[in-house]
Amino acid sequence: MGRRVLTTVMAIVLLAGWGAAALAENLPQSEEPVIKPETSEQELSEAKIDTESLELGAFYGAYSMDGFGTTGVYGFRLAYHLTEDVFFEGTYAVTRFDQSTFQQLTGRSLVADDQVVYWNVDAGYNLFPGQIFLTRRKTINSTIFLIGGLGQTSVDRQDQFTFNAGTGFKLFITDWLDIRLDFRLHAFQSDLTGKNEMTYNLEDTASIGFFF
Amino acid sequence: MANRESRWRLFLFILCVVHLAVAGEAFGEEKFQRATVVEPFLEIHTGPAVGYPIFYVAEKGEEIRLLKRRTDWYKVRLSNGKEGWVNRREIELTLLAQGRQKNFMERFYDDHVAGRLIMGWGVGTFGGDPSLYVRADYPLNETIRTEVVATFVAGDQGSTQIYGGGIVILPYRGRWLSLSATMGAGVVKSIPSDLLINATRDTSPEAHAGIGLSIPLVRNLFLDGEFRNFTVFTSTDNTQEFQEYNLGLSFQF
Repeated sequence: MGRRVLTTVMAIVLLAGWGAAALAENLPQSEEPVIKPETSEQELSEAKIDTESLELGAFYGAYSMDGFGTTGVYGFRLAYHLTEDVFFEGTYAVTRFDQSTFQQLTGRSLVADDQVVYWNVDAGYNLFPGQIFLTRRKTINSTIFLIGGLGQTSVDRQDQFTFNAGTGFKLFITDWLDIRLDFRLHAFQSDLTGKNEMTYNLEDTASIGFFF
Repeated sequence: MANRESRWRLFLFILCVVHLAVAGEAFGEEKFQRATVVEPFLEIHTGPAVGYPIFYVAEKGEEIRLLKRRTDWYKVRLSNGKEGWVNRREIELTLLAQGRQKNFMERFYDDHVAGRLIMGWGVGTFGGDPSLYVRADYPLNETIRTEVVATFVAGDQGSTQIYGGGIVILPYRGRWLSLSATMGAGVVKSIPSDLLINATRDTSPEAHAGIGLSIPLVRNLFLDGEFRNFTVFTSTDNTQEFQEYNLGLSFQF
């Protein structure tokens, strides 16, 4: 009994759909009105338009600690695009302090915990938005941006006030998906080399991001 | 018999799913709102910024669909299937004609922020220690601006934060360079390092004066350099002088 009801319901759905489609096709095409009204019948609602001004990204790259070795770095970014030119971005990343050379030379460790964590808040400016020709016909949007800001770097569980500045290059695969390369300088005070001095640490990363 | 019946039911079920999916797709097309172009023409860019090239021009009377929005740009689909980005101010008449209201933020932005408000940030040295600043300037007229600045200094003994405001006078504004003089006042908060014993947090008033120059780079972006002299009133009969040198970028909305 139940099966028959189900079959009947499905048949009705199909028939109703086809029937409506057939009716719609056979409807007489309305002729152009003599007076076209100035206003449209449908009122626009801004709330129904999807807004994409946030961008979430994940990155991986190389972090070169001033006076020490280069290690891998990975992290996340969240950006808010304020205008077409300017965006604000927060970053959280994890890298490692390479003390292998120090250990080889002295036989002891310089830091107890070799995990380095940093976060920063940056302002960025899209300096050169434009297009790149991949082939003669295929083009994709790109931008070169300047970026800089402040944050904290935690080395050996000690937080250091950190400035960062750099530049990057972004390629838009689609409107909402992009890949980018970042070249960044992180500057913070450190006493790991024996005296307290400003250290300049270079970082190169590649990231993938999407707008939502 | 039962087997044939269930096979028939499966076929019917699949057909039903496909049918509803197709109907859903057609309905999905309708979820984007339509508008008829009121402006004489609309320039369609390949991306959401003026720097991306215009690849098509839509005409008055053409029907468009509004797909999405990013910052001040709308992504539209034209009746011929082409998709691209249009600036809000360019499409404003069309949107208003369809009954859209400018919201408070947009009205505020258009009237008071666009082409006026300047935001800047950069790095420098404050009393020999590395510093970073963020500032916002609002022009009162051609030659006078008001300004608020926050400066963060990272010193050996701890960090310092300076929050101040003042006026900026621009005696010369050229095509390649403009000069400025500034003066103002604020507060200096010193936060000693945790390693220091017996050190306390302190807030003192300050007064400052300085000179600066600004070079236009591209579009609405400027390169700024500035020197400021700070007088910090650490106690009623004691003052300290600090010099600050800055280099940074600023942009006008």
